[in-house]
Amino acid sequence: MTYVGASIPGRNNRRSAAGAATYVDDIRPDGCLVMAVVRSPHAHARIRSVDTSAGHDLDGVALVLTGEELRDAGIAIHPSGTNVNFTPRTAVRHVLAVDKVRYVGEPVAAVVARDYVTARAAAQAVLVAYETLPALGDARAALKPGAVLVEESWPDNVMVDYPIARGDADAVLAATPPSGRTSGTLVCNRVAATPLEGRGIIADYNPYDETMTCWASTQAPHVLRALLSAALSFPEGNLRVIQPQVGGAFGGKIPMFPEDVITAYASRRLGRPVKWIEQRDEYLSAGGHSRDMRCDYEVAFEPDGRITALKAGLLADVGAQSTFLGWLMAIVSAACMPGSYVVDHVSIRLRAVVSNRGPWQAYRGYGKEVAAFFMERILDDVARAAGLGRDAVRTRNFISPSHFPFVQPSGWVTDSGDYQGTLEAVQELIGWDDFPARQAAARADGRYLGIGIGHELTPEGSSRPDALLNGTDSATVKMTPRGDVTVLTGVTSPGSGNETGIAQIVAECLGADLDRVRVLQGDTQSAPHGNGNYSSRSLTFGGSSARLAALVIREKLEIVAGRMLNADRADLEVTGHRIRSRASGQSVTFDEVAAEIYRKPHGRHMAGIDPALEATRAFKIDNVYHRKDEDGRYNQYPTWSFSTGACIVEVTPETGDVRIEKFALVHDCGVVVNPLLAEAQLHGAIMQGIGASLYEEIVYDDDAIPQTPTLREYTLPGIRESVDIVLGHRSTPSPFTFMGMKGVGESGISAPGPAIASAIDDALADFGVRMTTMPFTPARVWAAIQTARSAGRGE
Amino acid sequence: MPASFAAPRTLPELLTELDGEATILAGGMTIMPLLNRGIGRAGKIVSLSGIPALRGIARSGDSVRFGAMATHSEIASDPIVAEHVPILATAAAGIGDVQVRNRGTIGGVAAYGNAGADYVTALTALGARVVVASRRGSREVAFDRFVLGLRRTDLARDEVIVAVEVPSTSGGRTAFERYFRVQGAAPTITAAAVLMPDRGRLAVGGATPTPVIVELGREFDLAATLDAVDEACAGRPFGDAHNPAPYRRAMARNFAARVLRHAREEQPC
Ligand SMILES: Cc1cc2nc3c(=O)[nH]c(=O)nc-3n(C[C@H](O)[C@H](O)[C@H](O)COP(=O)(O)OP(=O)(O)OC[C@H]3O[C@@H](n4cnc5c(N)ncnc54)[C@H](O)[C@@H]3O)c2cc1C
Repeated sequence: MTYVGASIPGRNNRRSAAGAATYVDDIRPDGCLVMAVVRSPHAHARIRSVDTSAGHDLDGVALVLTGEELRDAGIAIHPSGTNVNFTPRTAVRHVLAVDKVRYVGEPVAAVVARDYVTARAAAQAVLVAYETLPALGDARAALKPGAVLVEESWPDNVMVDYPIARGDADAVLAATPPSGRTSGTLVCNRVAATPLEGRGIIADYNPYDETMTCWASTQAPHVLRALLSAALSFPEGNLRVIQPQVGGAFGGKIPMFPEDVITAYASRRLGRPVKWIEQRDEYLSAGGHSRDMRCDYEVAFEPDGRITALKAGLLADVGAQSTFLGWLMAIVSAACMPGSYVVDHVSIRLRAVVSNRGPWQAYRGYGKEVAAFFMERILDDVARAAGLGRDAVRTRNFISPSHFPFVQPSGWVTDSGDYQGTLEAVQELIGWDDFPARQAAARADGRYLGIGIGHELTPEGSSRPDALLNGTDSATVKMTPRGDVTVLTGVTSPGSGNETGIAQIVAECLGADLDRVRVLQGDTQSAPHGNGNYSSRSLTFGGSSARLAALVIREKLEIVAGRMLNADRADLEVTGHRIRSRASGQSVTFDEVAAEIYRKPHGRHMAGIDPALEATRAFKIDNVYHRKDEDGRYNQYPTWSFSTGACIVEVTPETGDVRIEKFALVHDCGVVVNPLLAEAQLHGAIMQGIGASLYEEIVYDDDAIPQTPTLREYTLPGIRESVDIVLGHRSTPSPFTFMGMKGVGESGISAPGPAIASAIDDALADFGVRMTTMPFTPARVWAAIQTARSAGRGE
Repeated sequence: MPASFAAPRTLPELLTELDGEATILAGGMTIMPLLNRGIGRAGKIVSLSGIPALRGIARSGDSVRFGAMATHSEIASDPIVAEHVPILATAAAGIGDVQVRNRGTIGGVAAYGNAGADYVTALTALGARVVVASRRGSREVAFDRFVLGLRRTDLARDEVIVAVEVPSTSGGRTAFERYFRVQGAAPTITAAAVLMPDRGRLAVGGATPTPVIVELGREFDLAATLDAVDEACAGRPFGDAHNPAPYRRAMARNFAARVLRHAREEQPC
């Protein structure tokens, strides 16, 4: 039986579809209290006083917490972790604001009460006196000389200044005639992951045995346990974190949030369970955003489209900082340029700047989508300036399959790829060659159709040095006395179905019957240590660890079965939960071997054998360099999936409205374990990519006040906006992983932005429009047409 | 604070509850999200759900009378509406999603007076009248004088909308247009045209705090009408993060042109 490569429906499907899953808010420990958070209405203000008396006095209120109390209790989050290539400015983070607030939505106080209505009323009764300070509405305001400081211990608002260089881009640009150069500005605006289920945690401190149990909608229970233990100075061994079913995460639930610490602190103080469930407006202001980057670029190219030099200034508005580490996405954006393309002379400078916008939090794409948007728009610009096809310019500049592993100017090492392969396949799927005729016919009818492509690179398996989110994970495989297999993994599932893929790998490697393999995840008390779910690593790390553990079990089963069958191990065939001697044709089932091991440890087949039918193994991935080596290699991404997207759009010039007629994507994530689940991931990722391209944007005004506080303003695409998606698969196996898996999950979110931009430009070629700011809302597309018209370009 | 909640069964009972402090709850599609976020007065909630007198859609002379609690779904599928004010059925069918249409009411939309709301524009073009009652008595107001500004209406805190009366457009040509970004978001622009044998009116919502109105004669000049829309928008700009004022102004002109074109192409009904 071959399980790897089979489209087996996700094991969580029935439960989720039936509404029978247990989410954190469904858990109701006896006597549970509810927490509400008092948040800053100001973008930047000094806290003059916090008067909690009116809140305390309300009937049903158990506790009101302030920043001062937590600070005096010694609760503060200290900077940790090592960074290579750059040094970020850091500061101690308070989970409830002390002295000042730095963004709208920052937690200032917390109220714990018998129910949410009471907690909410008490939160409204907490009186905070603020003295407002000038607020920085965006990164450019934050960079102005004399700008107010968000972090008062810093000399300015620059958190990271990270230069990347290879060759001499300035010299090449200077030596290139104007006809061989182009330049421009690109902007990728803020978005929020917006999972269906918001954040949430229950902390239950037991004062008698001094343990604490937390149920959290998190991606990484072990990591949350370690971070909470450090924050609260609470023994890690007495802390248990359980991840119930999670209703979507997309990076947005990588720990740790201020609310996690506050809830756990409150429970410990009260000796009672305390629950905090996020409201949607809290999420949109304080749950963390991503993107929000600008790129000023200059490129030099040869007449044949080969790019000879790239110079880019990247400006990231990472907002005010909190306890979570989304700002690292800006590093990934910079380090993934030029990405899929060989450019000999590169000069990139990233400045990540703090402002009074909300903090960043990880979101699917993790900065790679920004790099893809910038690079692909630059490639389109070169195609236009050189008078060449958009596909031809990509072909000309792609890293060729023989050049892998390829060291990026950042030092990151791209493992393998065949970019031309996905490009050609997607052109076929979308009907690239036939399109011009269709386009001309539609144009004659007064309709504006356009076609576009966008290539994305999705490095996966993020393995950061000196961090709990690193290049390993562990799994336990065990067999019961009756022959059932249990797998416990350190990776978790945010609803994506990786437990199904892991079960397939274990069943395959063990020779087990898939129906008898159960995968358990998400409980620090039972699962071995792991980093959880992020960076599409659940199969490459979790599956590979489980495979190693399964092989240990298999070896033991084979030895004992060999003795039972009087056969050599080499003669054995293991499949379908049965071990068979090829020579004699005799066989024993796993059930019989397990019974032999458990029931007759002193029997004749068990001499010299440790009877444990349980093994834990940790897979440590290759192609990670945590110290810069002599060749400049420093790499945190072992595997690099990629895909090329293409789409056909129709634009209505009078309104600027863009409708996607068809979206095709050919992806390459190496070997696919379960095509059905991989496609489900890709469908979701593409829709999120389309959302961020056309509909979604977190907007702040010049005073850093959110303009999109609810889902009424933060317009997510719905079923009406869903599009016809066509997928294609290719496989360029990674040389560094089991079977060549690379990881899927993030893939597909990056290509839509540049592909749609490219298609809009194509549709509006008569006007000479170039879409440079994402999302391409009707108002922006319309404005671009007006600008092009008044500049006398086109019609 | 736990709110007090009343669900009167009759109009007189309702009026005694409306003491100037009460917050009226109709379909709740607008007010509940606001109250949940701590916006608005939640101390005393008075629900209109239990009052049969506020329901129903019926002919009343040359008009159609909509009880304030007539839902969007009812309006979208009512045969009287389809015959006498078809654009109101079109407007109702386009609102939000089916859950919102099943609960949201015409009275709630009228009372909230949001810029660009489908009915606000349609009722303005249709020359509707609002019937309002309180302990002090009842009165009737022309809808275009009832909506005073952005989410501001001529409704005192002790008053309730009882019904909306809409003149039949039978024998005229009418059209309604809406332009929106995603399902569930407020429409960017709504436009309604009512061309009767003896009078005509264009209303465009979404580019200004209250709808732009252009009265149209038997014959009218399209270009001049559009210029009038444009001028009105320039004088009272309205916009938000995704749809800034200059964009809305341009769309007002576009959709005014569309709706007039469609109305002219209509067969008189
Ligand atoms: C997801 C979503 C999408 C939507 N999309 C659209 C759309 O596309 N187009 C559109 O036009 N609208 C849209 N709406 C708004 C919708 O039409 C609401 O139903 C409407 O605005 C309010 O009606 P309601 O009956 O729900 O009123 P409620 O929410 O109950 O009340 C609204 C306000 O009016 C007051 N009020 C209600 N009834 C009366 C009365 N009889 N007398 C006096 N005061 C009263 C209330 O006190 C409150 O202030 C949408 C709403 C949602 C939630």
